[in-house]
Amino acid sequence: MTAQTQLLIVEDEPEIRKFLRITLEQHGYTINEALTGSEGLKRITTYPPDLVVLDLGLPDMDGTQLIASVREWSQIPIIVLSAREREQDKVAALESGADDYLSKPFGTNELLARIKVALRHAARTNSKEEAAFEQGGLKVDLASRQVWADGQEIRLTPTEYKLLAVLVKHAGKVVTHKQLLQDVWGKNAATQSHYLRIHTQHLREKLHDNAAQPKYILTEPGIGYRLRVES
Amino acid sequence: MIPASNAMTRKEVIASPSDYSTPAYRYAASGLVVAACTLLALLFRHLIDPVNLAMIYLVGVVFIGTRYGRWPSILASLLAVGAFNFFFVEPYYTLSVYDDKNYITFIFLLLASLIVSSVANKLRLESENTQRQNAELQALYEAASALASCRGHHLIAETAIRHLGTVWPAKTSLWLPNTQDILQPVMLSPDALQETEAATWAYQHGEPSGRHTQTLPAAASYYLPLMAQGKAVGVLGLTLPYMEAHNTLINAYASLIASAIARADASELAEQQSMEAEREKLRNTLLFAVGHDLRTPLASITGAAAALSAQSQLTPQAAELAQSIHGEASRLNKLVHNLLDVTRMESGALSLNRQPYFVDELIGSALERCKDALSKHPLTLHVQKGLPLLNLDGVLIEQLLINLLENAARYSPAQGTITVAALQTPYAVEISVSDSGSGIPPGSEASIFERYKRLAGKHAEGMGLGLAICKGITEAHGGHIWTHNQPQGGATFTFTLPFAFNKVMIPDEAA
Repeated sequence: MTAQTQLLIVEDEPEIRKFLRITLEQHGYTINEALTGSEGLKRITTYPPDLVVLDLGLPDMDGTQLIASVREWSQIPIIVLSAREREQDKVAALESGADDYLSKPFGTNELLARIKVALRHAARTNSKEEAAFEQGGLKVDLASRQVWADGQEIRLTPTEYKLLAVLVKHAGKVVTHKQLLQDVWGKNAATQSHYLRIHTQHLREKLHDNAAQPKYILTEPGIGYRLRVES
Repeated sequence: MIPASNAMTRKEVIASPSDYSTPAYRYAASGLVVAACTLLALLFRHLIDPVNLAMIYLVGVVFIGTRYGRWPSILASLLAVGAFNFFFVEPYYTLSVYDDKNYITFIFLLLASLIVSSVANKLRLESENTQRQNAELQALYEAASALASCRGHHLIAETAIRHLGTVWPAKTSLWLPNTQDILQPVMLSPDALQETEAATWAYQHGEPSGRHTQTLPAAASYYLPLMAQGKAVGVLGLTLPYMEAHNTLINAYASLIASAIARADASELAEQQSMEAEREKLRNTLLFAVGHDLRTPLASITGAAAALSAQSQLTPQAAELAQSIHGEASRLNKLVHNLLDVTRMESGALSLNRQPYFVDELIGSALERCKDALSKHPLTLHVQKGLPLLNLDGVLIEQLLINLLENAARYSPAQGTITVAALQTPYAVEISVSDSGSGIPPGSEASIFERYKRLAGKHAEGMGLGLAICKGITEAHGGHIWTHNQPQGGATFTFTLPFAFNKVMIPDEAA
C-alpha cells in the first residue's frame, strides 16, 4: 500500500477546518490545510494530495472555477462542501468535475464514506478497470454485460443496461442528471430529464428495487442518482 | 355674482327664496314707486301728452315687477291706474271720469301693467333661481375642495359641518360609526340636537328618517344616511323647515361627505396594510440575517460534536455529554434551516426549480435522509403503483416529506408505527404521513399550519415552523394540505399535488 493518504482541506472557516482535521486525522489521513482558493490551487499544484475537500463558499474564488482549473490537468478526486439549499452550486461543481458533495451540516460517517468511495474510484482508474460489481443482492458483470438481482438473471434493454453501467462505473458517487443523459443518450439529450426518470423507473422495477425504499439506486433530488455502496 | 366670502348673502339666497313669502316692505315699496311716478308725471304734464304720461307708470310697474314680485306689482298696477285717473284725467283730482273713452285707457293700462309685471316677475324668479344655483354650486365646490384635502374622520366632520353652516341656518350634525359599528355624533353645530334613535335608524336602513319622512317624523331634524358604494358610512342630521327646494343640494352635500369619508376609510386601510407589509418585510429580513449568521457556527458545533462523540477514548459520561451536544446542535440546525426556509417563503423568494419526478422516489430519498430519526419506528408503506410523473421541485417536496416524517417520529411513542401512503385521485397525487401518537387537539386542524403555532406538550419544539413550511411548499405546487385524527389513534397529514399545476410534457417516444 502507499504511504498515508494525503488530504487537502480548502476551507476558510477555522472551526470547520478544525473538526475536519481532527476527525480525518483520527481515521488515519494526513491533513494539509488551505484557507483560500488561490492558496488551495497552489498547494494542489505544488504538493498534489490524494483528495481535496473543498468548501464552495470561499471568499476569494468561485469553487467551481478552482475545480475547472484543476481538471484541466488532473483527475484528483474533489469533494465539495456546500450549504444545504444551494443545489445549483453543487450541480455546477459536479458538472465541472467534482466527484461528490456534502451538505453542511454533515455527519462524520457520511464524510468518511464519501472520501473512501472517491479514493477507491481514483485508485481503480489508475489501475485496470474493474469488470465486476457486487453489492447487496446486485451483481453486475461489465465484461459480459450480465446483471443478477438476488441470484436471478435480469434482462435489461440496451438503454437500461447503459444507465446501470454508468451508475456502476461511479458506484457510491453521485452522478448528475446531465452526465447520465449525456452518457446514455448522447450530448444533445441533456435537457430531456423525463427520459431519465422513466428509464430509471423501469430499471428499478426490473431489479426489484422499490423506489420508496431503495436498496440499490438512490435518488438525490435536484442533483442526480447514486448507486448505494455499503462501506 | 355672489362673492364667495359673502356668506350671509349666500345663506339668504339659498335658504330663503322669495317665493315663500312676500315681506310687507315690498308692498310699501310699490306705493312709493307709484308715488314717485306720479311726481315725475306731474313735473312733465305740460310737456307730454297724458297718454305718454301713462308710460311713466308702466315703467314703474315694470320696475316693481322685476324687483319685488308678483303681488306688489299687481298692487302697483292698480295704484298706477288710480293715480293716473286722479291726477291726469279730467276731472282732475277726482276718481271719476268725464269721457267714457278713458275707461278703455284705464283697462288697457291695467292689462299692460299686469302682463308686464307677470313677465317681469318670471324674469326675476329665473334670475333669482340662477343666482341661487350659482351660489349652491359655488358652495358645493368650496365644500368639495375643502373635503378633498381633509385627512381623517374628525377633520372631515368638522369641515363638513362648517361648510353646511355657511349655506343653511340649520342645526346640523354629523354621525359616524365607532369601532363597534355604533353610530355616534362626531360633530355638532351649536344647539344641534342629538336624536340617536332617528340617526341610527337611518344608518342601519340606508334610508332617510326623522322630520319630513315617514320614519320617526316627530324628530326635530332630518337624518340622511351618507351612502358610499351602496353602504352607509355615516348620517347627516339637518334641521330645516322645508325640504323640497333643497333636496338636490342636500343630497349633493351628502354624497360629497360620504365619498370623503369612504376615501378616508380606504386610505387608512391602505396605510395600515402598507405598514403591516413593511413590518412583515422587516421581520423577514431580520430573521433571515439571524438565521444566516447562525448557520456556520452551528455547522462547526455540530461537526465538532459529531467528531467528539465518535472518539473512542471517552469516559461514558463524556460520551453521553458529547452526544447531548450533538443532539441539541442538530435540533438547532433544523430550526435554523426551517427559519430560513420560512423567511424565504414569506418574502416570495421561493422559486420552484421544477423537474420531472416520480413521487415514490422522493418518498424514498426523504426516508433515507430521516433514517436516524425513524430508526426506532416500524415503517409501513402504501405507495400505489404507476403514479404518474410530475413536474416538481424535488428538493422542496423532499423537505416537505422530511418535515412530516420528523414530526411523525417526534410524536409517536417508541416503536410506534409510521405509515406513508401515496395514491392517485382523478385530479392529483395524494400523499399522507400518519403517526401513532395522541393526535391533534380537536379544533386546531387549521391553526396548526400557521407559523409559530405549537402543540402543548413535552414534545413541542420546532412544530412552529415545520408545518408552515409544508403548507407553503404544497401551495407553491398548487395543492392543499390538511390533517385529521385517525379513529385508531394518531394523526394523519395529507397533501395533494394536482396534475393541473404539475404537468410534465412527455413527447411521444422515449429513446
